[in-house]
Amino acid sequence: MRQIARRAAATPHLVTLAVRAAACAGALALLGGTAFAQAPNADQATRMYNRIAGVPPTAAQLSQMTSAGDPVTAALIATNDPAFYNNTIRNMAAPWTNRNQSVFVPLNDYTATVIGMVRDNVPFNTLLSADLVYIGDGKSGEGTYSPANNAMYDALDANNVDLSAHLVTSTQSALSGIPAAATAGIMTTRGAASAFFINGTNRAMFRFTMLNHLCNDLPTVMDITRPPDRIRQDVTRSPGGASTLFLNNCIGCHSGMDPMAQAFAYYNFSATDPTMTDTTGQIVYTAGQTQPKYHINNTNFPQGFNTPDDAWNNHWRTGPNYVLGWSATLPGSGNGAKSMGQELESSAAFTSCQVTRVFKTVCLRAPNSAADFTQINSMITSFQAHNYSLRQPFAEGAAYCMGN
Amino acid sequence: MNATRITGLIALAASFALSACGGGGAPTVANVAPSQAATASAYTGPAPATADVQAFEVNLWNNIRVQNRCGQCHNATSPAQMPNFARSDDVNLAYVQANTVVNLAQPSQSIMVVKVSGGHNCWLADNNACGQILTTWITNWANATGQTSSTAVQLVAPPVQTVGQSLNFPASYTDYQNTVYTLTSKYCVRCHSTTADPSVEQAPYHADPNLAIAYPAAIPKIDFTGCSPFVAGNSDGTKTPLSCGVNSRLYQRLLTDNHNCWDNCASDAAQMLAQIQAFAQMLTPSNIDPSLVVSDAITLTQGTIASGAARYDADTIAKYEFQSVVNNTTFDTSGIDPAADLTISGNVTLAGGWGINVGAGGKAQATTSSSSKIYNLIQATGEFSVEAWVAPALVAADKSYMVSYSGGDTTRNFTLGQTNQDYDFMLRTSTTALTGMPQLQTPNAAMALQASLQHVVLTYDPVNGRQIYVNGVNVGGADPQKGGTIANWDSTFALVLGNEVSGDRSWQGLIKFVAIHSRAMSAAQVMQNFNAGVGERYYMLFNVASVTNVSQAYIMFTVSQYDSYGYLFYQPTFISLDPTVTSANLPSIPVQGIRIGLNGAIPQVGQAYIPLNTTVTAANYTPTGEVLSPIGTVIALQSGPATDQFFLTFDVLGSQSHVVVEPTPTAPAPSPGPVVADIGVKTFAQVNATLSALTGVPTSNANVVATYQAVQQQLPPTPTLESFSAANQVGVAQLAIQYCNVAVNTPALQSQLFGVSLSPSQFTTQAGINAVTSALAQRVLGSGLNSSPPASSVTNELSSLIGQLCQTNSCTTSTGTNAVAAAACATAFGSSNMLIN
Repeated sequence: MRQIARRAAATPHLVTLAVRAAACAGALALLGGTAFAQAPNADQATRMYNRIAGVPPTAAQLSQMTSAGDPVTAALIATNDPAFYNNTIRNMAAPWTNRNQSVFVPLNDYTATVIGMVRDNVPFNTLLSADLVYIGDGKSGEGTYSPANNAMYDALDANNVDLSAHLVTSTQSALSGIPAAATAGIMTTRGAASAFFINGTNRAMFRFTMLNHLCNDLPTVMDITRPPDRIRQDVTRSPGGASTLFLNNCIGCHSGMDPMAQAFAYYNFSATDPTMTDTTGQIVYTAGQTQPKYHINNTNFPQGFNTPDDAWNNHWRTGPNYVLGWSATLPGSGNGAKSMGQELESSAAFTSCQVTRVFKTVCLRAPNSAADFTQINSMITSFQAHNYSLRQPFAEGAAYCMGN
Repeated sequence: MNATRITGLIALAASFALSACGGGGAPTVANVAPSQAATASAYTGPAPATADVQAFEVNLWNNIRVQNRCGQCHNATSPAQMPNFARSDDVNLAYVQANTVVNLAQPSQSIMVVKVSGGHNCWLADNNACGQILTTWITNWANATGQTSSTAVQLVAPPVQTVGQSLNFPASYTDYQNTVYTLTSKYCVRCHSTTADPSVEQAPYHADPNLAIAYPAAIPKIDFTGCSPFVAGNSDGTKTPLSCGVNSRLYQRLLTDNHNCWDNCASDAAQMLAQIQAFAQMLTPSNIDPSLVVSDAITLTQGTIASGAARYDADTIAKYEFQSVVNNTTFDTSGIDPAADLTISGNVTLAGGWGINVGAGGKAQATTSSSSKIYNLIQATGEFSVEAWVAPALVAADKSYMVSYSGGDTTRNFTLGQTNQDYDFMLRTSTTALTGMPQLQTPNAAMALQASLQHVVLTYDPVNGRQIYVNGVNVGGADPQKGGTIANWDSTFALVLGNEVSGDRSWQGLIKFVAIHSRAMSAAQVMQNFNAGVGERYYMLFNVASVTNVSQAYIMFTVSQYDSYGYLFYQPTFISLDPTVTSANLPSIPVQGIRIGLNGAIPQVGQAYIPLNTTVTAANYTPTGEVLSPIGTVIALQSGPATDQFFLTFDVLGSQSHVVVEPTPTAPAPSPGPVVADIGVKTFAQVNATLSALTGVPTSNANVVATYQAVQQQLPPTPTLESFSAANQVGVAQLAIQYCNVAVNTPALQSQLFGVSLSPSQFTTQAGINAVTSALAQRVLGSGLNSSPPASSVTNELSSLIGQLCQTNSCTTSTGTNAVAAAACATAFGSSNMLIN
């Protein structure tokens, strides 16, 4: 395809038409394995570098890329740039850490852990279950990690520390005082807890995890036909005296969400700042004891579910949300956040979400053609084959969108 | 009938009917409208022989023996109608007769109540109201002697009924495609489709272009209630019942919610209903799948009425249960004269399952004269309670009043109000204003008011002042104004619900019950009434004897009409009415996957017992049965409690099974994003890092950090060209100027940037200018890139700029030269050459 495009390089419209024609004819699939066999030219390499790292390549880097065996290999060079971690990955992850989904938030252990996982090629499909946290290496005066505040990360930020070089791996169980079995990747970081375990009923943790990591907010997965047996007592079945509202709206999300969010029954965040901004306070885990927040407003519907433990169940394995692609090797139920995180991160929706987001990041647009979706599928396959290293889809997506 | 007691009651009912007022066997006479002014001569007969007789005298007899009630006929003189339980000559003889027509265990089931509720000489305009008042009096009698709660309900086997026919959704989506889908695919597709823009995409996807997705999603939104007789019974097939399909959500959303109508909501709704009815006409009623494991069928009213826990009503002076509205009047059933009946006005309707729905502007108000009993009786005690079961429709409401006894918004005796999620208690006392202010309010943080059915009690006594209980818990805290008295109340005020008497404090929601008590209820009494609940409950017995091979075996649910739209089912229990079935001989019976069927079909929504997986065992079985699940659920109402017929199906029951396997849904095709430019812009952090790379100034430079923090959120947050704005460009320019200013004024960086150290006369020669512009162009454009513009296009612009700046700035001094150089630098680096990604 590149050859077709190159021949028409002088007339951009012809390039577009040629690409579309190739896509429509299904030629792309045939070209898939060999389309990127050649090294990128300088323009392509520059675009890939800019898209991945956000900064232009140096002359040496450009030379290295144009000498690479193929565009993907060339693009992987850009993933070594500190700006890729300090800017691209950080700003991709930052909105995941707060309810407003703002990118303009302080660095925290949630974001740092994502940065570290990408840098170290940690399988990204352990994002929601690993006993893992990335902290400063102590060489920049940032102090030590505290589960009770964000001071270390604030210091890393204030000191403009290169996160690609000064983050080291540690475990939440060692630093936060929660058992290893109770750790659940970024969901049990202090950053996530301060945003989604604070106050409320812990449903926020599930909702925002679905939104950020399965790319499905509740309105797109609501299904009123699932059994409401696990909907808690705080959900009124007759809002304002109209049960039709419950039966046509509330039940659609709560019937699936409540049995999943039960996995967080033992978690809380100790602070109660109603503004829910990052503040002092730390994650709380009460093994075997359901948090009181699961029993608030329990007279709204006394016949509702009274949460006894952290047993979760995925009602969305059947019905319309079957299409989220739940793992056939997992049981669809369990106890605690770790196994529930595994349920989410093992789904096809999780993988697709991560890859599609990377595609948008490096192509500056959502996939909008058959060729794009073929590329997405290819990137998903490759993501899995490369042990869920997120750098791989960055490189492959950038190569796909490197232009002519 | 298994219960001997009930058989006996029926015999009594027969005898009572035969001896009704007007002569033996005379038909029930038309209602009279006796004066509500009860009159009775003073009693001069024998003293009550027992405490129970005295309770009868005080609570029932004194109320019914008056001339304008039962005493007119059921007396000892003329006509001496038997049973003469209202005779005034001897309370002990009246007591004997009364015992033949009352049921102290279930007062509402007393023959006396059933008879009057059925139209026998009610002294009010509404037979139900008379029945409720009699129930209150009998209940008070029973409570006085502790008989209500001490007797177990006798379960009655329902008639044997099989599940009827129904219209069932066909497997193929063709009929849907040709009817309802013609509208949804046109008018709903922009949101209810997997192809919708992600910002508005919304399940259910009943309008999806892929009918394999759309049809299953539409099924829960279509209700064929009322359609079946038409299809089954009319040979001409031309007349559609008006009620066919009106419960459908697709119709109601347009009609009542005005949900994204495409033209006029009423006509849009009519179009939708016509399509639903057209869909129904394509179907043929069918029997339930014979392979299902099914119970017998039963309606709600064929169940056994469940007697709730006893209420505390000893000091009730006004009570509203809202079982009926007649001539815009709903009745005070406290039995305390004068009855403060309420006249409804505005947007108030009777709710299903008892209650009134109060809409915007509606209210229910008593007259000032009848309301005066509240004043009189409370003034006598100096304390009172207001009790209500309410379901607020809004949680964002200010100064909305549920119950008020007042003369307007500025003058009141007491008011129960709502401010957002707080309950307000305004009360006129000697320590508060005539407005009842300052009010006592539930703590804001507690958010005590929820949009659910809640039991709210206000109590007042001089010692403790005001207190607010919500669902049995005191959440109001201490009353800072306690210690006053209510002697300054005004007797001319009126009791009003759902508003202020002045009509300007509208409250919206459901009121299911209101009572006013002439004493401050204790915390225990409040809790007692909360636990007693509200509304009528039934034990519905679903016959499963033939499936389980256990004699008279039933799955029993406790059921009530929850509101106007649904039924509450809870506490499924396995029980046999055969007393010979005991834990000694009951076999183990596995029970899995219960579904509640309705009118021949199985609703898709609300099936909470599908995951149920348990086994009835002899060890856990008691004479009151074995509870299968503590969970309750709400099932949507279709035709109403009188006709809706329920049944159960089971995945597994005993040795029979029919496990339901859901079809695998079709995965939607990926939704393509919008076609946008192939290139974009760098976002804020990328701009910062790129400027740092171009100038050599580290991002940690203090001046740069200050500027970056100031303009960070002004820089492009998203990478698309389409979202780039002028404000973004201003931010980019500001940051570029700062970077260039630092670079130019830092000697090492300056020489690195320009390849030379700038001399004060740098811009006095074209060669000097060219050196600077070439260096800048080289940096920002890179080298060997076909996608970059020619370097000359940059250098020419920069040369022109430098020339113009040097006309107004000194370009012969180091300071002036640096300033111009920085400007040229910012122009180059703040341009699209840097920004375009």
